Amino acid sequence: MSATTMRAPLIEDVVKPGETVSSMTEQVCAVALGERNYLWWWIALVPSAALLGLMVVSVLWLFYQGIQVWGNDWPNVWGFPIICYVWWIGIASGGTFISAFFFLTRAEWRTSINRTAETMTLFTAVCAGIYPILHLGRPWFFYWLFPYPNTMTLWPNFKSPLMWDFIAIFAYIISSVIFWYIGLLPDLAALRDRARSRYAQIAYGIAALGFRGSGTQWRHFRGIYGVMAGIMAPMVCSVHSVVGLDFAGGQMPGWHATDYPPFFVFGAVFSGFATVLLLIIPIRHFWGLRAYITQRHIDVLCRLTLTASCCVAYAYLMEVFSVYYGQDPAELRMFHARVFGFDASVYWATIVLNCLIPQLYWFRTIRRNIPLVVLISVGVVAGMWLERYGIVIQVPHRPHLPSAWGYYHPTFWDWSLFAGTCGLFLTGFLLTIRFVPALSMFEMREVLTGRNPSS
Amino acid sequence: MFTAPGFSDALKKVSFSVASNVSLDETASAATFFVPLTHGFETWGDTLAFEGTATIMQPQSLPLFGGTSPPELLALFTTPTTQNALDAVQQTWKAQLGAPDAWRDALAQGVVPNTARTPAAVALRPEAVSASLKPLPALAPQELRLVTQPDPHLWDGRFANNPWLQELPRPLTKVVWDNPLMVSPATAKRMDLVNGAQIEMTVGSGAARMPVWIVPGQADDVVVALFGYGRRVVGDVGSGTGFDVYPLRASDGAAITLEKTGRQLPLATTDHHDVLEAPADDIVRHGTLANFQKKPDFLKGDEHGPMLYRNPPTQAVAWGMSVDLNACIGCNACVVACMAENNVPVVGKTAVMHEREMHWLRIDRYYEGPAEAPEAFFQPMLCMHCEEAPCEVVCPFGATVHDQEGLNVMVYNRCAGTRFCSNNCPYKVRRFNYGAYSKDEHRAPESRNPDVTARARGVMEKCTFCLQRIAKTRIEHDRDGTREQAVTACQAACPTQVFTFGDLNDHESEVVRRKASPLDYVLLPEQNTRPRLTYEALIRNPNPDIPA
Repeated sequence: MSATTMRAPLIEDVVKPGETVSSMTEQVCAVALGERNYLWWWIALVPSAALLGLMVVSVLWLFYQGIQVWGNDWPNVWGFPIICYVWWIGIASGGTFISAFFFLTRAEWRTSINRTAETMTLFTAVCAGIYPILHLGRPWFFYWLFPYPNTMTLWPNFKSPLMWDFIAIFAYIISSVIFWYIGLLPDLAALRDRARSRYAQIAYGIAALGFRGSGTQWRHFRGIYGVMAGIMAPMVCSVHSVVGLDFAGGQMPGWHATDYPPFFVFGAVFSGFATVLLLIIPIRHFWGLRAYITQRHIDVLCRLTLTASCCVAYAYLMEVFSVYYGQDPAELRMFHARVFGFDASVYWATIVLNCLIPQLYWFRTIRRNIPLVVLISVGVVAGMWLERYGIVIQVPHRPHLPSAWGYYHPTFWDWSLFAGTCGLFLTGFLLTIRFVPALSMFEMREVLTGRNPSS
Repeated sequence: MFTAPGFSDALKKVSFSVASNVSLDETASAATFFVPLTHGFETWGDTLAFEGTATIMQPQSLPLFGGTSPPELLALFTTPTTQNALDAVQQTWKAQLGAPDAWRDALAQGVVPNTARTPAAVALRPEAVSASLKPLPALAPQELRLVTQPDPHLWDGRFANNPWLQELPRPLTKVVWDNPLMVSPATAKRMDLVNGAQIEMTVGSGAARMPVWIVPGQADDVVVALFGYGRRVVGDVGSGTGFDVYPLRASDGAAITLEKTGRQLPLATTDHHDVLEAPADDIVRHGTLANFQKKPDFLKGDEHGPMLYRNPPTQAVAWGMSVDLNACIGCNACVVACMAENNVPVVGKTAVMHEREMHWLRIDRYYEGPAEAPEAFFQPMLCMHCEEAPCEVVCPFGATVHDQEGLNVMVYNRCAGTRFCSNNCPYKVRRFNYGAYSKDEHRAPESRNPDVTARARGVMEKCTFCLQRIAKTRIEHDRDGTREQAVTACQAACPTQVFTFGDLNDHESEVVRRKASPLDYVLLPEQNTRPRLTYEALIRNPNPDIPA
């Protein structure tokens, strides 16, 4: 062996050399068809389902008592539900960005992780979607946001950013489900063909919607998938821009800023990349997929996280600049309270976790150090939550009139619902990676065939 | 018994006692017998005005819960037979009134004519004043002087069961549901006290424990205790609120010492900011008489910024209000009038601590200057009824909209509670029903204003400029063509005529005249909201001989 093989190559392979189409299909299908050891999966599922149960309890209590069970007050009329909503939808955006945008750019490393990213998007978007409804004072009337024909001939108010938000999120969740499901069809068909139990054959057969792999079906499949990717990639930007407009459309000092839409998109993909890292690292370990989700993928995601971190840091800098350049007294008071006030630690923790620590990714040794990557990613996900805390909680602390200044204290039920939605996400995600392939097998086959034509 | 601490011991020496009152209190619960009285609105009676004019009281309703009236009770003691209140009052006045129609005239007029007493000629005796001023005992170091005063809202405690007054912010401290001991900023600094810190106050041989509240501008060597709180038997609302200060009243003016206990007690306040940092020409615009004389509109500033949209068309009636800051004394009468008029719910101490009070109208209190001797300002704050209302744009349901007379109205039925309107209101005058506050009040339906909807849980609400009163004047106008004139509840209750309300299209109206004042200004003009409510800036004329 020469010295060059001792050092890791600068650009590593997206699959471990020697893997073939059949070995890959064998390994990936084994998980879905119940041919592996599922101990770790049960260890993860049981607490997740327990958290899901906590969510059910929290929601029932909320419906019974009204939102007085939360910490929302005056002037902080928006609290945890909006923080968590923005946080979840941000993570979702990262997943779509990877699977749609990098599909269009034909990045070959995308193939191994797009299924994970899309599944993550699906369930984070669901978590995000339920929050604005629960957040309403009278949640049973949420359907008033639909422009449906009614006897009073009333339309929703199309000038309201919340109306745009509803349309954006609704369209995004539906498109995410379709994009995810279409991308799943060839793999569901493969599972149908390989399943030995009759029940599994029928279940996967129904789910595969009659996909048999004919030339016409493939042609249609590729057409639809390409179009969907073309829709989804810009949609990621528009959805989170609209989330930004929920705030920027308001007149609150600190929200009324034109840089909010891009600022929100940066933050969204940032937390999304970090979450994908947090998901693929255990999957490749426990499902035995190290051959297909390699150091290369982790390296690429770390670089993406670093890029997004720099964008977010730029947005934070612009925020500081516009406050001091604008010299609006109310905005200055608000900003000084955020940066030097009693809960200034939130602001500084945001800066450290989102801007400073991810700079470690400039070093290759850090990107190759899995425990450190996990720690930094956890920091980013927490940091992005804190950033939204700053926006949703700390900004309204200091409205124009000092007589309306106030504080916010989350209650047990704020935390329990947040923990509960984490349970919803994890339960959904774990069930999905148990019963459908964690890798996009049909796309992997193309990669493997291209690399190793003999197989 | 509550207001005279020694009385309960004295009462024990008596074998038979009767107490009568409209509701059960401390004295009644210690007496042998309790006679429930009817309310003054439920019975015949007579009374004297301050200068002696007699008036005959007619009942406004039949007794809601039964009871005995004072004339009936007195008759029981003085005559062998029972007598009803009307007979007793008529018997008293028949001889004095003379003519047969005089009784009916007196009822119609409300007073018995020519019954005022002739004032007695009295001369001031200045020496009596100086004779009554005894020098106070000197204070040793670390000692403070105790001053006791009635609570501004509960008075001597008689209103302790009134939830409106319990939740009415105290003029300066904005504390509700409690009567903390008021200390000066310097004392607080010396003893390292924060608002709500419990102290033990030693007066002679006695001691009391209560929380403190720091009041800017209070004299350094004085602590102020408000009596009227700490009622034990007063009803569901007032029992057990605050601390009983009556046992300390005998020590008024005495030297006391304070000691920290280290405990922190929960106190509710509607105010969460420190000394005002905003400049004099910003929120509460104020200046001196000298500056006003030099340039009367020196505080006016820009009223409106540039607009992209054209203004809404003017209609026949355009309601508007002017609020004169020069007249406001911060008494909060308007706030309680608003609550009564508009069925504004009381939320309780815990909900106020969660910053969920529901007052549609609040009196903002700002300080300016050093904490030891600041200037205080009051500013009534209610919905500005902006022509370009930021709340309306952001509501996805269209639950807050403009009506044809320029009012910003809430459609409660249409509100699902996104609360964006509150976030977008620069004046923060919108209130949200986090709980079912109206339902939880357990009030008799008769005690509510039947013209105003009681709001449900999960709905936003705010000042309507007393829409029900406007509707009434509109109906009168449609019926007989009278000029549309409405008086809002806050305006009717204000003892100093701070509020002027009326039609901005009626060029002879008082509100138009007021708004023409050079002192008229728009609050937060840079928000471009074009509010229908404007303020008249505060002009003070400080005496140069009195140091600030």
